Amino acid sequence: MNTKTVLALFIAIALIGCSREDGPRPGEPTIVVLWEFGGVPGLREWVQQAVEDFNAKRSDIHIELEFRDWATQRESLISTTIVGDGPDVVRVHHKYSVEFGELGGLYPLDNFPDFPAVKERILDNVWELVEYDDKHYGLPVTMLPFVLAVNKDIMAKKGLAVPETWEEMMALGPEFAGTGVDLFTMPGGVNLDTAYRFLPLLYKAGGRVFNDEWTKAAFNGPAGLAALEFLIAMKTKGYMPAASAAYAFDENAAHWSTGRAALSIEGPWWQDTVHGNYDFDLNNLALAQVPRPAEPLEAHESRTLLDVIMVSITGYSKVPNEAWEVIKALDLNDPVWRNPNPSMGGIPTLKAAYAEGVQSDYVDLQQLAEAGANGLGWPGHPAITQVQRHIADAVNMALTGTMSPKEALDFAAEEVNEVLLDY
Amino acid sequence: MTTNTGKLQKDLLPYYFLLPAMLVLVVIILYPVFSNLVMSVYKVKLFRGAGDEFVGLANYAKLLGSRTFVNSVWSSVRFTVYSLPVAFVLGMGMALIFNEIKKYRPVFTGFLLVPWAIAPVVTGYMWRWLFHDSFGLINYALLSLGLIDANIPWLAQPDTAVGAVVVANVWRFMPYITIMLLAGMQGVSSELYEAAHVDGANVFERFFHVTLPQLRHVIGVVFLFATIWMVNDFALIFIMTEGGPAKATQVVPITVYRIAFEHLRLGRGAAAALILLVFLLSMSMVFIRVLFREERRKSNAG
Repeated sequence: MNTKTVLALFIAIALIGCSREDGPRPGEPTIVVLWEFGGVPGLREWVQQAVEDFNAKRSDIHIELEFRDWATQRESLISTTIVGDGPDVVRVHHKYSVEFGELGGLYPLDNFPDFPAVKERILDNVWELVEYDDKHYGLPVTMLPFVLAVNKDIMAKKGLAVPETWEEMMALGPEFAGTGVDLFTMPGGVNLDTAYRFLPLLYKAGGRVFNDEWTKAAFNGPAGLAALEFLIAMKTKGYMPAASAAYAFDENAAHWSTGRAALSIEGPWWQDTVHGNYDFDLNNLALAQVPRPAEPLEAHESRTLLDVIMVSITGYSKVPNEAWEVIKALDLNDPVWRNPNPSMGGIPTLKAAYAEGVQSDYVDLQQLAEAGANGLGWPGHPAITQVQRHIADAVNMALTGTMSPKEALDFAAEEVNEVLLDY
Repeated sequence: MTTNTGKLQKDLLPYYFLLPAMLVLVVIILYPVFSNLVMSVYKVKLFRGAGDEFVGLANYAKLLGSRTFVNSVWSSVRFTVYSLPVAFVLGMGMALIFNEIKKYRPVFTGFLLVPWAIAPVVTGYMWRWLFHDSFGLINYALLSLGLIDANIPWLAQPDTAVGAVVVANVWRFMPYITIMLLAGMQGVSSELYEAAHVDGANVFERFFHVTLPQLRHVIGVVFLFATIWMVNDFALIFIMTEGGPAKATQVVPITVYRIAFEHLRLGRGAAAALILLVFLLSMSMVFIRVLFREERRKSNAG
């Protein structure tokens, strides 16, 4: 055998080694790769156990679980969608249903014959968040409605009631002046959390992100302007920390949990975050609806911001049927979803979780459920992450006093309008 | 004939040895730069199925007319211009001290290298919490010493945030500068110092007339590398401030990241990266010309 033959054989063997297997060998289970982007430790522990149980029970399907960082969802979806290879199932934020549904990166669940029956078991109002072009690109598993987190102890010591309107909230400010405790705190740094604290106020005031045709930004309308002016007034009057313009989620959580602020706009993750990370006494935690202006400022209905975590099948998966089996076993039929559990990071979307007699460790679950029922997600626009970034920048600009609220919102709207022209 | 062929082969031999390195350079540097150049004149439609749209110099025009991009250039310049002299002066001071230490010098230099050896992401988080308004050690120390009477929101105000990232950057870069200068100092002939001493030069005169001139090339290289690294810095600032507040610390690499990977405008991001590359290349060339001006003059005179 000469050198060339040996080389050719070596290359052939190497290429065979590099080729992808399209299916299981006879007698071997089908592999379903699950990328778990779940953001809280409790959810991760549950997934780990649920996957082990599933793999022990099923001989036909084997789940390969991989934990990924919450913040890397988009980058991961982008790269896997471009190359058309990657996981079969992903647990991600609902906003990607549109962006990646449009691009073929996610698989429409409507293709499965039992989808209507599955749909029936989930709360009706969350489906629109995973829908694009009349197709559903994920099973909404948990809801994250935005509510007002209240330190009951601080409020009780001052004899104050939880505010329902912006005006009531502003009136509480002087009670906190010079006490070393802030009335309100928020992550206001250059990060998406900032946009997530502005939007509940915008929605409460009847504002929306885009106009009805989604051709132009509308967050710089009267509701948006009033919402941002409200936040700026809170800051300039000293009712919220001067450093909030640099806070990300962690700094804000640390500030609130250590009794340095009474109110913060948060969601179902808050209970686990403040208790688990900062040992906050849950007897002092209360939840309420995000305050609204006394009078609506725009014609739309007053809503609250709602995020949903969904489980999706990737558009390039070669085993969508098996992936659907996995989703149903883990995220629909597992008993964990029938009892709202604070360690899971969000409240379930399963109707059965809200049936009479269901036990839950959630503080003020009713407030969360109410906010969830009235929830409105970020618009399902493919460019929504860019829009969120521009809104966050605008809020940060105004909070630092670099631009007036109007200038900041108009500047962001201009940028967003340019983005929208691409679609 | 045979002699000519042999001579030619001998002449070409060094190029054969260079070939693998040149190939690697073409693959990992020239190709990406060329690819980036091509991308910068297109509106890249990453997923949308349609082909990319040729837009000529529109991406460049848009960037140069963009308040955000122009501000980020200014932020990069400010970050570098504030950091480098401070890091250099402190690094020089440390190098002079270390040069005098004869015992356990390797141990001390090992400790000195720690800030340089720590990953920029870790450095960023460390300084972010040090500068935290409520929990940060810096405010705690200043309050304890009675130098301030209320916590300063360091990272929430544009001016103090710039100062904070500069402090963190100086802390990180100083060891590198110290080590480089220390190595240079150890190469200076002791005879020069002895001669200066005999001539009656005091310690300052020896520093300014012997040490500094002898370190000229090392200093030039340090400035060049440090400038390139600082202008390209991403991780430290991104972790500390994410470019905020109010984009005060949004240096060009963060802007490039935002444009390309958050806004998915890859063509415009490529144009921004190329502008940064051209800026750095021009600056490096000027630097090198100035650095070797003396040598050129001597060789021309010779």
